[in-house]
Amino acid sequence: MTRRVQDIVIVGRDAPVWLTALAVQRFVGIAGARVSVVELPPNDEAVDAVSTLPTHHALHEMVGLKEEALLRNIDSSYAFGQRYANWSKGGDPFMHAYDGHGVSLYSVPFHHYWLKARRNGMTVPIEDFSLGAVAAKQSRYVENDETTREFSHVSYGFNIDAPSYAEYLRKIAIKVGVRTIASEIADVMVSDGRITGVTMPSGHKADGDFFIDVSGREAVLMSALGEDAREMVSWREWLPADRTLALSGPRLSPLPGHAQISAFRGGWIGLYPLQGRTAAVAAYNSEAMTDDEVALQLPTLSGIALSGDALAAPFEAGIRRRPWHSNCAAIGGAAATLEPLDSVPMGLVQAGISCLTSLFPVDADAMPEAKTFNRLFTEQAERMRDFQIAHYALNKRQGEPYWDAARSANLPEALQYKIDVFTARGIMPIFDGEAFGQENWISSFLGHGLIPSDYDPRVDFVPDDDQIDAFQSILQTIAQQVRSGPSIESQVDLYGMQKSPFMG
Amino acid sequence: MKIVIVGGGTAGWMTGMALASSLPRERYSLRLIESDAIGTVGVGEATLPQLWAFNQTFGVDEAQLMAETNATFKLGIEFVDWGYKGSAYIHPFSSFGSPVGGTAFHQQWVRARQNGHDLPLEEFSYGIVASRASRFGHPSQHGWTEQAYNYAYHLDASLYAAHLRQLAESRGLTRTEGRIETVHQDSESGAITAVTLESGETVPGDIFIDCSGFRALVIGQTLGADFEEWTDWLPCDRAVAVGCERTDPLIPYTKATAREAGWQWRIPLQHRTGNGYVYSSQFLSDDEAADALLSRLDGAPLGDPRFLKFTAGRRTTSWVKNCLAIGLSSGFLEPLESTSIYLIQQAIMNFLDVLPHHPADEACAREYNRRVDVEYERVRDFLILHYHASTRNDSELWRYCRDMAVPDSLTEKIEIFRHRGHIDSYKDGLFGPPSWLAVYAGQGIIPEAYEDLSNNQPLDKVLPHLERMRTKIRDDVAGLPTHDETVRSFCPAPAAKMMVGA
Repeated sequence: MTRRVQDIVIVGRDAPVWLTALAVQRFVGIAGARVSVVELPPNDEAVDAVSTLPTHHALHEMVGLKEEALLRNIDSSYAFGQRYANWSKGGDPFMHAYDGHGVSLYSVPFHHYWLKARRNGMTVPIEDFSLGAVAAKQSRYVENDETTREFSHVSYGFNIDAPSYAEYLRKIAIKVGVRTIASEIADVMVSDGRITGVTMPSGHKADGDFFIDVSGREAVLMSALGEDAREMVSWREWLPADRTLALSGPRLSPLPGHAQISAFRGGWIGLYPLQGRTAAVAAYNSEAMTDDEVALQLPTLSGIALSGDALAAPFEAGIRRRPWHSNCAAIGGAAATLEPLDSVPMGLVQAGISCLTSLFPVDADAMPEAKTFNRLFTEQAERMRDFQIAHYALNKRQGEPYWDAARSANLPEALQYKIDVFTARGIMPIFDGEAFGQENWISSFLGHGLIPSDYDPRVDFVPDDDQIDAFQSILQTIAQQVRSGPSIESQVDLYGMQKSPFMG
Repeated sequence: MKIVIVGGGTAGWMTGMALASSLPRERYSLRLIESDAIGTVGVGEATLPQLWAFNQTFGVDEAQLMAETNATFKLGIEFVDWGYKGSAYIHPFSSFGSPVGGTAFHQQWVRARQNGHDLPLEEFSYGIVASRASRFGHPSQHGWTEQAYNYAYHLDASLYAAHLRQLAESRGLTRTEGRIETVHQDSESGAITAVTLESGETVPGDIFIDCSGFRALVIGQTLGADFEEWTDWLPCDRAVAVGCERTDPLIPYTKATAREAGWQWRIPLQHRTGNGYVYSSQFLSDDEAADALLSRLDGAPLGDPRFLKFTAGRRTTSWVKNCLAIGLSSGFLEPLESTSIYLIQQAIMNFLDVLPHHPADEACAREYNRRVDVEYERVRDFLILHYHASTRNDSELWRYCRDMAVPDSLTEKIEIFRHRGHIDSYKDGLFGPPSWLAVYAGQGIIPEAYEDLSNNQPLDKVLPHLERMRTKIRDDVAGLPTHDETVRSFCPAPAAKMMVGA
């Protein structure tokens, strides 16, 4: 018989540490293992926000956090998608929504019909055939019903105020039996290549069989484990930002149903609307623009009055070669770092938690799970990375050195392959471990202006009149559905913080 | 666009029928060239459940097809003597039990075992319980979900090809009789431009689909596409096949019995039973193999044994220039898991899915080849598992397979399953978690530990729950007609009817 893992020590900070603790508590804590969190001083500042993908709901469901409670207790709002602006000189912005486009007629994906129609002079952008994208553009809240289910599976993520999210999750964690102590770490005790415990400046000690490092880039546990655990793989050649800067602005009115990601000379800035304010974050390269230059230009770039101390931090995209080494697994920023784009940072946390819970060690003395975890997590992280790189690789800001270089970078093989076969014939291959599905990739590629040279020849088998009818019917149905939905603003108010006597 | 299919047989006619059913005649001309003089490898063939969807997609009537091909239903494959001599398990087309409190069924099964309750895994699968009882009824008529229960067929592959030929010709495909003498290539691009038949007729084409079987007339002989051998992992390279008289009861599953130098198949059709011995010529001579096969039939042999030679492996690219290979010309994996027809079917669906505008569209070919690779490699690893996860020590082949180095991906899979019952599921390709579980457990790889999450439900609640699953399956299956009854009422073959009447 094996010796069960009895003591799990999680060291970390901010929302990811609590999400991890809650998941672990649910998976092994209920049955008797002790789950302890050493809570490090937060990295998140008052201006920070997190954004989530629709799949993040599964985590909230697991920890028992209902949508109504989220909107009522934490400054947050709906995100039906992300709008990309200024990624091309003179080009139109586009919406990457969490929904498909049109219907697949005779098992041929809709975008092929769209490509043919476009060639024949149709000017309607593909996003107008997506219920989610149209709802986002018009700041409306929509759900599917009988009339839309045939072509849509619209869903949404959230933009969430980071400090209050962490605080709320922390309370849930304590309520369900996670033991916590707020402290820094004085020392990590390692014996025979395994972590045996951590000590705190107060003299407190936490011993464990299994450790989880959710401390972000600091990676306080992994760093103590030696060369194999420390080795990092940099992705900077494809994701060139080396600085991030967070700020905050007033609430937008009416409240938009999406985030806005705008490129500028040295990087991009994202605006994440919340109920009480608008969070902003920029990611840029210090050789292209200095912190001061960026801070100075942000109000112009974002179109809103941004305030507060600009908080700049160093940044480097990359992944730990072995995110799980020995008896310690890394989750979130300690495992991999990607730009705060496409809600990917929280996507990485979610991917890590999901790999960890499906492979949670069953034997305190032997953890061959590490190998499978590292393979699966790395695969997922690399596919998210590729999704981000695509924005850089497909930018059309010609004449700006930073963006010109991004466009000419040698791409990871899997991404180059996707681009090649999509360019040639509109085929979108999807690999194992993709957080983003076909529709997301198609939104991004077409949105950035990558138009395939050919569409699927089977499109020509369908009479043109039938195609035109199908197009019109979808457009009408979407228009009707969006018109009949409440505004994001009133939907948020239905549950939201506005009713709380403690708010403004 | 002119599409020329080189060769008939199962691959040629499945391709011909599918293309004739989905490509409009005014845009595509379809021609299939085959020679009656060249035999096809049409032995009794076992299939996978995906064939149902293929037939459905292209409007092939199930009852009619089954009657015309002497077909029977198939719920899985029984593997005898694989993990060790005296062992037997069925790999079913159905899941085992259902999840309990957020954990996979087998996690609770392991937990029960470790607490002294040795529940027979087989009794938690509809497919296996029905197989053991020689019962079959269509799932849809018996209120079962698709997940609980799937089925395939045993059929005569040459009659299947004949049936598809009728359909293909009625849907506008032109068949040309004749042996191909010359394959013409464009002097610059190397693309295939035409083939010339023995009769002197030259058939030009834009796309050539090589269904010429092992000969690989176009993809291999003309275009020289590389063949990657996998014989180190799958050493069998010969088969000898013979039919024998039908026995009763008519069982709804294939049998694969491990032998000294390979394994023997048994495929029950309506009017006879197909048999074959797949072996490695390194460890057994042809005569020995034929003798062994004939001595181990369960009915009188019908006709003389026929021999086949093959090499396990696949073309590294099965779409080259304007030619793609479908069927044996693209690769060969022994029929241990009945994957031959499945691989043909996937190739066809993938071709339709990346249908090119231009004959030598490189993007279409790349994506097609990528998908073929994924399919082949996943089947390969699953087949290797059968040979490698064995403690047999009674002959050279088995000692070799036990000790051979297997692909890293497979080693990792086996290790993590043995350690804690984890089974990866992947996006594309065959064999989901229930299949892996069936083979692991059936060949003696039992997890040493189960997931802690299983403990969230108290054992004294879980055990009665498992018992209810088992009882439900047993009772449901007891209410089914016998396989023989279902075949006789649903799809009796004319020949079999006569035999029953006699």
